[in-house]
Amino acid sequence: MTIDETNEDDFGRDAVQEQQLMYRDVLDKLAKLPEDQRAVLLLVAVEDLSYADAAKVLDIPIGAVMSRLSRAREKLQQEIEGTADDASRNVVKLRSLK
Amino acid sequence: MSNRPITEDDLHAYVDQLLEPERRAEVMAYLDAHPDVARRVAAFSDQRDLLRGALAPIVYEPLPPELNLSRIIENRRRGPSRSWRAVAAMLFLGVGSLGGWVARGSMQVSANGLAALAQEAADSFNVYAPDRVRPVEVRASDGAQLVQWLSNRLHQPIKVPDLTTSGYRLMGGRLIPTSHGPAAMFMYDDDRGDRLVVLTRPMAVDQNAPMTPQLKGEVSGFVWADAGMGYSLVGQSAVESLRPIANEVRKQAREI
Repeated sequence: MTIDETNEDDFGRDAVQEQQLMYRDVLDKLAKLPEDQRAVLLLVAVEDLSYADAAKVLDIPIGAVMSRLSRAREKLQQEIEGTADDASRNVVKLRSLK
Repeated sequence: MSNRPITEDDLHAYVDQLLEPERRAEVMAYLDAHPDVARRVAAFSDQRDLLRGALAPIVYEPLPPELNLSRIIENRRRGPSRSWRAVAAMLFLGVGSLGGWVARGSMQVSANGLAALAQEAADSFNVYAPDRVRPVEVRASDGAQLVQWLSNRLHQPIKVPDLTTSGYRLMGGRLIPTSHGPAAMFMYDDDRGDRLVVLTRPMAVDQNAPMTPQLKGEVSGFVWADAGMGYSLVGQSAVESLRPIANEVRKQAREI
């Protein structure tokens, strides 16, 4: 076992762990969405269903697909940015020792 | 150009890549003129990539036996289909237990799969893109020879992506050694000295995987896999500006 190989393993694990954290984080946030919004987002964004097919599968009008999709994305984005805000607030707090 | 106003629905269809080319161009022009909206749309696209990356192991890999969903799937839709796995799993099992499985599943996968390819592409960029003397081994002027050589070494028909419509000119390419065998590297530049690297190799794992954004220090880009071949496009531009170029590479590779 050479030093080079050891280093490469460490690198690989870091990259994998970082990616796993990102994935777990987004799944946790996804879980906070109401079920009807989550279903539309997954069908459209992950499963590549057209809006018409998603409407058929869920037995709702296509307008409802669009409004749920829109609300799902806005809410997920709020969750994502909310965490980022918390993190930056913590940094400020630590620095100013309030 | 039609004069139809851009609606919220158009923006979502843009994110989901469901627009016709003409409408897509109109939305892009609109986004250029409205940076606030463009930021929101870019955030939605990132969400989409993240979700696809996180759920790719479920969508593309066989289900573990403890998640026997075939009955649920059949009840919801005639005939089981892979397209229902992620949704069924998320809806009926709860995300907590699923998160553990996703983490376990892709832990095994990504050490050799897409994550490794992304790392190799970033390494190739870091080593060769700053090289002003010999960044490529075979120049674009010997294109036919380059394609022949790389196809022979990878035992795959390799096609060089043409990125001239995106403003990048092929400089040439070289063979890259990786711990997963030989990979083909192509380098491009625009007329301002900005360089891009496309790395491709056969994949033992992650043979099909959706396009996922990657950030490795100064280098960012996208990585994906199609029909057993992995692709990574990396550069130093903002990751969002690389997305259409990555889409172009993927489109051309599918036309082989």
